[in-house]
Amino acid sequence: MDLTVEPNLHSLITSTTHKWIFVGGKGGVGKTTSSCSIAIQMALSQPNKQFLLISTDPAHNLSDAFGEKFGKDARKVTGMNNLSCMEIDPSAALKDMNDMAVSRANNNGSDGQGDDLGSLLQGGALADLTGSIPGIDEALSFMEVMKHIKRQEQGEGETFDTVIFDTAPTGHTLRFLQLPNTLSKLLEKFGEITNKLGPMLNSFMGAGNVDISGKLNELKANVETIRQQFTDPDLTTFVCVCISEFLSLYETERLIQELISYDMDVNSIIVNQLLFAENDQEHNCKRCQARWKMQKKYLDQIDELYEDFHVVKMPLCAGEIRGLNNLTKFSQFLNKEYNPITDGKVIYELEDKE
Amino acid sequence: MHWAAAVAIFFIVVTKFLQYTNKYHEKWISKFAPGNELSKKYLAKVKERHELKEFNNSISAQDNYAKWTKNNRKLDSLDKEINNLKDEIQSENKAFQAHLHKLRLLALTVPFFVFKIMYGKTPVYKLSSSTSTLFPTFVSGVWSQGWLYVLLHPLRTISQKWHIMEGKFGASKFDDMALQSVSLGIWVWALMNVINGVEFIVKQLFLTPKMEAPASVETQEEKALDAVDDAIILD
Repeated sequence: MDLTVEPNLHSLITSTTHKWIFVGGKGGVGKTTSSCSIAIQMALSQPNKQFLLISTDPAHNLSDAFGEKFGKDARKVTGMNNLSCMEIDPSAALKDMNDMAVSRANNNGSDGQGDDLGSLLQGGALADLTGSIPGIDEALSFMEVMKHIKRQEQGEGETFDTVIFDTAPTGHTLRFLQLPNTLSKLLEKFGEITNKLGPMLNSFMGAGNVDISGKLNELKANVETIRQQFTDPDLTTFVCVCISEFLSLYETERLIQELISYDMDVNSIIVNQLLFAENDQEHNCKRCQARWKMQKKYLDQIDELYEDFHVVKMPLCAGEIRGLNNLTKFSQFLNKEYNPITDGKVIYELEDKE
Repeated sequence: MHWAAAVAIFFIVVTKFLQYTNKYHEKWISKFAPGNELSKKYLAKVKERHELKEFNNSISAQDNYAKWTKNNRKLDSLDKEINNLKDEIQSENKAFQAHLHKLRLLALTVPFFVFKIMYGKTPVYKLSSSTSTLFPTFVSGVWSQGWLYVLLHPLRTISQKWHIMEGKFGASKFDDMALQSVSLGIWVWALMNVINGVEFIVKQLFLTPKMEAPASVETQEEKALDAVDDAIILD
């Protein structure tokens, strides 16, 4: 039996089971480019399926990467009919919540009670208040995931077969992935309390007709579904992105160990910005040679450490990888590994495009 | 010495010995406890972890990244193993200690309690007739009969009055009690109070660390606020 692991993401790109794909790593290593590349390759190889690329990074780059504006609602990428993108904007989402609260307060204000609250919220007090809560970005991303699951279950609106997450740098991502566990523990405690105090709480909230324990149970069931799906290797996987440098590798190792502790499947590493200097006869320089030597040292270590991982080695391109065409060209090396001898010219072709 | 007093002293000595050596019990128990093998394994793991940590600190993480990371993984798994072993040892020791506690209860506390109940009224020594008259009957009664004498005192008074009313002169049943002795129960109680008193004094004088008196040094801020002269500087 052949136990060697392919140095590309072909199996993931052609996978028909994966519903959630997370792409993460240290800041500035090319997470957005990698997640866009994975999304494009998947969309191209499975044209009958719908894909959604969500950015949960507060510093959104999807619009920049594709060269078109995406917002909080999923919108199709121009030139592709089965790939949509969206950027979850915490401040915009909070502003929406604030506006909803204002309009509700104003409606109640007709009976003379809501004026004060309405005027307080007019200035965006709720958004300011909740925006300062640590981890609110992750919570909002999580809400988005729940919304999608619900939509898929109910068959409402536009449904997606696979959702690819362009995540925030490691710390944020780990917090986001911890949320299902944390929430289910929290909701369990809440459940115990509401079982005892349920009728009383409901009577308190009676005016608004909100069934607290019912809502909590619903939320708990949703969170549990997500937790199960996130820990199922057929449904969810994590792709780590790094560059061949010490700190990036160190953070990747930390990320992998954390993900393993969450029972999440992680078996792919994309190593970006490699120079492949010895094959680059045309534009070779001493600095590139020296840097490539250092990169090779770490590449050897990666191969030794992650024997059973798909380690995909991606080249450093001459220009910025922006726009659908450039991304499509670059992303082919995820499906079939980059060969510096035969594919070397591609890294210079990108330069003149945009 | 009365045999009952000797037995009581034996019980007290053993109880006090166990009380004074309390902090060493865990160490002694660990030598005989079933978790001893686990303890050896635990110490070996801690040693291995320490050596690995030292080795990892001695090498360059950047030059030997793979080795350094593999060691870190090993350290993580060792940490988990060490914590698990610690929990296992603690739970085994707890179970063993619970057995010992039961043994102590059955072999020492309960027998001593039963002994005090059964032989509590045994006169340990007799008072000479001249000494016994020095104290009121009530005190002599407590000495000879124990604290129960205090509880039964109202009953005794009623009984005596009833005897008088009935015209039955002479000693009542209670008067038969010999009031010229010290019972074992009272003697043990008095002995324990003396020992506790001595313990308290020794603890206060020699074993309690000295408390420093609160310093009354002026802080810098207070000093700065002090007026040193009455000159007024104008801007």
